[in-house]
Amino acid sequence: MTATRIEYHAPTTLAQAVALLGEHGPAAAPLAGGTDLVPALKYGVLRARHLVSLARIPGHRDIATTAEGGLSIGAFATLAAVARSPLVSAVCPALAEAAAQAGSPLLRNRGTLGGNVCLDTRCWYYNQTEAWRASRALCQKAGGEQCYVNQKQNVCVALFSADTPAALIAVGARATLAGPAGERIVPVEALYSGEGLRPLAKGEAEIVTDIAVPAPPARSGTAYLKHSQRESIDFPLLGAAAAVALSPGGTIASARIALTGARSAPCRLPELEAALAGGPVPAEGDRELARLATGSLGALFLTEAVPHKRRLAGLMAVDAVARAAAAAQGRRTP
Amino acid sequence: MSDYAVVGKPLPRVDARDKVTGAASFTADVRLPGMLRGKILRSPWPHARILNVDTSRAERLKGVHAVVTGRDTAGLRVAFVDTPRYPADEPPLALDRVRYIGDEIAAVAAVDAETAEEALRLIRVDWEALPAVFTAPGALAPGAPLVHEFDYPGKTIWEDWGARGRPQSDPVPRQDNVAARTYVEFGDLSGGFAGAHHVREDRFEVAPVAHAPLEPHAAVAFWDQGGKLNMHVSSMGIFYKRFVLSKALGLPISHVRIHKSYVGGAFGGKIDVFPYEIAAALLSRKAGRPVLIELSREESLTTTRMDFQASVRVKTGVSKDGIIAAQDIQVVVDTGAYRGTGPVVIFLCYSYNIPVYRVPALRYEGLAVYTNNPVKGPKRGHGAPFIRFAVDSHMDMLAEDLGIDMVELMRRNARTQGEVMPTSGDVLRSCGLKDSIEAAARDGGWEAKRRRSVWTGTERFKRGVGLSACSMFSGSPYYPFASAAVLKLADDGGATLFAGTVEMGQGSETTLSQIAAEELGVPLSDIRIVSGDTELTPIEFGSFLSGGAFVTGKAVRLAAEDARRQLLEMAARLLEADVRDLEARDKVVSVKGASHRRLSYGEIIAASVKQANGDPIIGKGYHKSVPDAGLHPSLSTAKGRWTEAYGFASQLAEVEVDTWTGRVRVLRVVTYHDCGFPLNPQIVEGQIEGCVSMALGQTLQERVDLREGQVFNPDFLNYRLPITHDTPAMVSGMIHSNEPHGPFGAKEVGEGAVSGVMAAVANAVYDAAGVRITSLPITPAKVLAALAAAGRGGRQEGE
Amino acid sequence: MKQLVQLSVNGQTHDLVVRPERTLLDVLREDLGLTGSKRGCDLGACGACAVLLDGRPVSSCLTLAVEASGREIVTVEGLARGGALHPVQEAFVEHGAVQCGFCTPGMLITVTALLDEHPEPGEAEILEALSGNLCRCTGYVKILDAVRAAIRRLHGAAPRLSQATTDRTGPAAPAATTRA
Repeated sequence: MTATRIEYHAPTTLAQAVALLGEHGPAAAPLAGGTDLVPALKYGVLRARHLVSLARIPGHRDIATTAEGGLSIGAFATLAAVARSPLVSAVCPALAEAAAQAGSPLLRNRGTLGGNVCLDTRCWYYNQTEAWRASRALCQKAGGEQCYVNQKQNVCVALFSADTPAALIAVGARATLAGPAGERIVPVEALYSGEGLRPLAKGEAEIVTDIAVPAPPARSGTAYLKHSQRESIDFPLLGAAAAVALSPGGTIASARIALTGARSAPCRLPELEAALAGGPVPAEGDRELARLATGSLGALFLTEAVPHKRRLAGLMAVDAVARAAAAAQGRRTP
Repeated sequence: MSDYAVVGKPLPRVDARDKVTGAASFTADVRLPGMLRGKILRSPWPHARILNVDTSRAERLKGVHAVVTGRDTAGLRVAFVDTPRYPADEPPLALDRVRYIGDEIAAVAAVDAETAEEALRLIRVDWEALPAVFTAPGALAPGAPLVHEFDYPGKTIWEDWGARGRPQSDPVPRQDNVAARTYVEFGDLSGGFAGAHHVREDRFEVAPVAHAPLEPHAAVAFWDQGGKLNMHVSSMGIFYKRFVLSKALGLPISHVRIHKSYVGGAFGGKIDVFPYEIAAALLSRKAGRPVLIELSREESLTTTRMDFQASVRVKTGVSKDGIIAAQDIQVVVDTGAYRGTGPVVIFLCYSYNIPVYRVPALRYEGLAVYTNNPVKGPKRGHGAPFIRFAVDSHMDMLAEDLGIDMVELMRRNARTQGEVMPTSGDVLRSCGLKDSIEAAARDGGWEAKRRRSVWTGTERFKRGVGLSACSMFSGSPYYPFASAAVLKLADDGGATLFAGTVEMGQGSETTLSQIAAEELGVPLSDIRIVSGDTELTPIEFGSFLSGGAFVTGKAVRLAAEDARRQLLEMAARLLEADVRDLEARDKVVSVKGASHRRLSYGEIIAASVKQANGDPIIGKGYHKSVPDAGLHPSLSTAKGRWTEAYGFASQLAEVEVDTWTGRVRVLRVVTYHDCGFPLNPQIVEGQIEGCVSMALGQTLQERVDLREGQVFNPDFLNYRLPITHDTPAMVSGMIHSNEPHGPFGAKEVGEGAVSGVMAAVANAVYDAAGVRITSLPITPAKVLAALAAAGRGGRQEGE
Repeated sequence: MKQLVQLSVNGQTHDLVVRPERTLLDVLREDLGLTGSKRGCDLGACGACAVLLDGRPVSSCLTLAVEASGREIVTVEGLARGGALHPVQEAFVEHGAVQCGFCTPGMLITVTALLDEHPEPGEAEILEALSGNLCRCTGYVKILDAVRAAIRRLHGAAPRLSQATTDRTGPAAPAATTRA
């Protein structure tokens, strides 16, 4: 497969990169590790014709703890670096677990945290070669009129399937964006539009440069669970992350749960979070809580690989909470 | 047990060094001056009429050197099966009609891949959609659209090989989508069922899977000044391929040469004659330059060949003791848009099944049905995986019905040495089946581990074991019907072996070299092998028919025997001794008991050249695949001698079922393979391990996701091959049944350890969790659904 | 517009002019004649194209050649030194870890990188490190045997191929298995 012809830019500063993205608008895309972008080029679905490489921009690759005990992670750090960082494992195990299970070892050596956070949504009908897609009119995400999955409402339901955002959202991480109007910081959760078509809610010329994980509260723990057919290479068919803080009495003070692989954006489970607050730590497999969790999910698409996806999502959410709570019980305050 | 010096030893492979250094050349590694890149234009529609193909803009694109279309191949049809009953049905490039998504329409050769792809975009095709069928039942229904409207009888390949032809006629209108039918009946079927103590009938479904060798298909073509076609092809069976290419291109056989390339795995998926190979040759001829066509992974997965979708119905009547009295089997396969090997697989579902259990009365019907799906071909076992999955799952169910242990049931029905196969007359001159059943059960811990789980228990993880057996042939009467080998001795007493085998991972270069070394009495390092070149090496039967060790190995042994005999005769003259008093070892011939009377091989050869008018000593050997059979047995009746030797394997799987997720984890697979004699135990083990891995893939996680004729998972992200984490513990045992007609007692290995895995796993899942899955792959969703239906859903109930 | 790149491959520097959308795999195989790295799927899902980039194994089919400019690349052709096989290559030969040989170059790259970083990885680490390299022939059994054998031989003996530079932040934490 030969890739689409592109123009390549290798800025040496963030400001240059932002300027290039601004100049070319939707015709430009930032190039981080390339593990998602290069396949898109080969498939002929990438709309951008200008690639703005981040490789020559110094910085934004370090992983450090903050004075408060949180994490500051450069978005250009590879997933492999995040996975093997003892700092990440100590402060936010869910993030280490998510990064360690994203893709395969080869992909993690190139794919970046920022790239994973900004991962495009995916669909059977979209992530295919030009020859494959010639069997039908272009789908919406590829520039056409039709959604072949959600034919009733004809709205693109391409799935968000990155691993790390679930963990980042569960812990309330924040992303720093560099853009034409300067820098701004937003919750990672706010980066997503919820749409399959254009899943990122940031400006086209904005680049995610850093991720900040808040200091974990005392008596808190995190966990990430991934369901996929194989133990490597595969995207999550479902991923569930939980961050749980316990009260001194051992009940749940707060729980935040985020799913990936269920919808066009990573999603929280507010009903489950509300039901857990103030209550006892659930056991793995608690059916009642699981049912509550899935009630809030709404319609699910692209479930052929996991026909019981709704049920599984609820069960995984509860299990993630149980494991995060167990980690909280084991955690000694630093 | 004989004490051999070279065979029977786990010696490192002779091609390993080149492969670990990256020096080994595969087809897509070939670089020739001026070489162009070719690409194929394929149909996006499952069934359509071609109204017009306009290549003018493509031809004008800068960098394009040749374009070919169906007009360049008009009237030509090719097929793996080309017989009077089943004449070839696939035009290499479609002229008026396309029949599956991916069907070839045109091909382009250009200076680079990018230009070739651009050229494809410039070819304009006008279409008229036609109604399509995507399932075998749908295609068999009355009034279903016909995938092929005509058969085209002509001089078929089988007639070239001596089969009796039918009078040539005009195209024959077809009535239905039945691509092929096999029917076998013998014994008193109704009486057998009527008198049976117990009868049961079960149905099984097998989804299509892909061969997915790591090397995608590729071909290089170039023509020399004399009009001879030269090719490198990622292929099996180069002599068969040379034959069909020469016929397809209207060339004498001597005008086609296939050069050696290493092949990066094939598993049956590279034997057929492929349109892209013919296209490469045509493009090269038109352009006057070499052309490389490398298929993409997607093309390799979806537009070459894949394994069949199969439905199997088995009905068996047994006595109170579980002895099979009568059996009725029907197999229906979706063979895709062209016949592929449909006619063969339905023959094989009978032929690979009949050697395992004794069946006094049988009716067998196999149907291969045309659909507008991708074309099917042989995949490692070629039918044995589905028929053995069905029959041994069914036997496990019979065992439970009767209250007899499955191993005991297998023992009571398993064939033994000396038995004669009903329709072929083949004799099981060696048969390690019973020994393999005992060994697999023993090493697998059958007694201790069987029914360990209490089904109604609430524990999450449940373990169990299951068993199955299978059989495989060792070559059959098929072009070129024999293998030959030449052994050329060198001045220093080493030798060069010329053998036509294609080294595609099965280790043939090594095992054949070991045979030559053993027979010649030299270390392995003294044999150099020239292989896989139709000009440089003599005919070779081809390991695509599991005949590598058995047929070619025999030829190599005979060639080495011949060379050795000549050496000894010359030595006898020189040493003034009787030939019978000589022994040859380590490149030295000496008189027994008088080792000072000795000559090195080098001295003997030099003397031969001087004294025997230049004779440098060259050994020749040959062996016919089935000496007492002419042409392949009838595919439609299974009558006729088929193979000289059968391999057997019994396999036990130990699984753990996670009743919460439905996931089946295979803990251990124990294989006992009767391969006669392992010429190289390390290679045999490697073949068994590879077979088991591939079988587990088919059993648990692989499936070509076909929807209305389109493959939705045409890549390695979504077509999920087993990875390191999926490797269970494996025991790979060998039964030495010492096949009398095999070289050093050897028979096949490389295909036979696949087909016992499927039912072993399915039976183990039943043993563990009490649910019977009768379709492959055994997915977590199916297991969960079955558990829920059985009221054993654990935490998966309701929602 | 074509780009000027400088590729250091197996210790040799090459100045090339390449189209930016061309991958490192394309350039290695077509422009530099290094056909040892294989194209198994072209989409980063099989590992047959793995090369070392600054000491780390990556899929060269997903790495644009321009992005590799100025960095150290090692391919399978660079593993042996002066005709002597790398201990990992030796182990593969001895233990039957090579059948068709197509996955072998990528596999060797991944294994040598693993052992450079962890002289004595445990079973779980070995399985995980190789989990992105597909093999259809061996079922992985003898490949894993060869890795264990290479570990036994390697203490002190093997040359380090190159220093991993940029993003090494400390010893790797073992991958947590948090599977659902």
